[in-house]
Amino acid sequence: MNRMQKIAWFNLIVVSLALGLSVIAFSIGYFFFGVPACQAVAGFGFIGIMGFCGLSPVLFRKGKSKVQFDERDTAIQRKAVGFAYATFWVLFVAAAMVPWFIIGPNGTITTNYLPWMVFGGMFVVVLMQSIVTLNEYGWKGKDNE
Amino acid sequence: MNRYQKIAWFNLAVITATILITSTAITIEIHMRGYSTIGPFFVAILALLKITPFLFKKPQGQSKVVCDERDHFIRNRAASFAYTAFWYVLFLFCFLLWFIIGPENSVPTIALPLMAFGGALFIKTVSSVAILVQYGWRAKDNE
Repeated sequence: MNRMQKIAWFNLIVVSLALGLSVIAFSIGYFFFGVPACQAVAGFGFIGIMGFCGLSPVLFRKGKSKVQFDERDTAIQRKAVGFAYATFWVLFVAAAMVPWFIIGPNGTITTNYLPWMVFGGMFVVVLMQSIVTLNEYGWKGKDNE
Repeated sequence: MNRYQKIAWFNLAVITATILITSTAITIEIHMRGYSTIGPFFVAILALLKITPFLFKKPQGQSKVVCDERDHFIRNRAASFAYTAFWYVLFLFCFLLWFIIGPENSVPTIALPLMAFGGALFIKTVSSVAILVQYGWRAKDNE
């Protein structure tokens, strides 16, 4: 497995863990303990685990003696980033237009919706980029391709 | 000037003209009537952005090269830069608004489609500027 595959797997695991723990924490608080939804939302603090994605360049360092990145790797990374942002854009427009249609043009929405859009966008971009990277390289190691 | 440079210049001209004309129309209308209902409709000028494939046709004929690896690389790089810049601006805008207005308050729902619209304009502008920076702002013997 090459460096990009390892980083993609790491990001996938971190993102899945962050989202999974958040949903579990919210569900336990809301359904099991009967906490009001506005307080159970605190369970989404586990989203902060996504911050570990920023450690991937440190955890998976570049080797010193081998060729680490060639034109194929560049093409795969550009494809992954392009696909990730294209997906993010579609979902961002949906997230912007759906409340406007549902609540109406004269209504208001909580300011907390804005950071949720940002975090949701981060989640989508990291997730899609990792999936596309692994799909292009292969999901398992292939002698450091 | 190649096709992509011309399209980038056209995009920048249309977006700039739209912003100027719409702002002027809204300002004049507010000055005359105290409110603006017709001025915002001038954003329809942006529809010109969709006719670039017809205005700047691809070279016809078997001997004409439409796009080579360098053009492809430049366009991808411009798109990547535009989306990255948009991401920073979106992050800053959302959190600044959240800090200034406060988590207990609310914003009008019209702000959300305006964010999407402004974001699209921003991406188009930055992408066009990035293309012109990489190719050059002027013609260079059809590079």
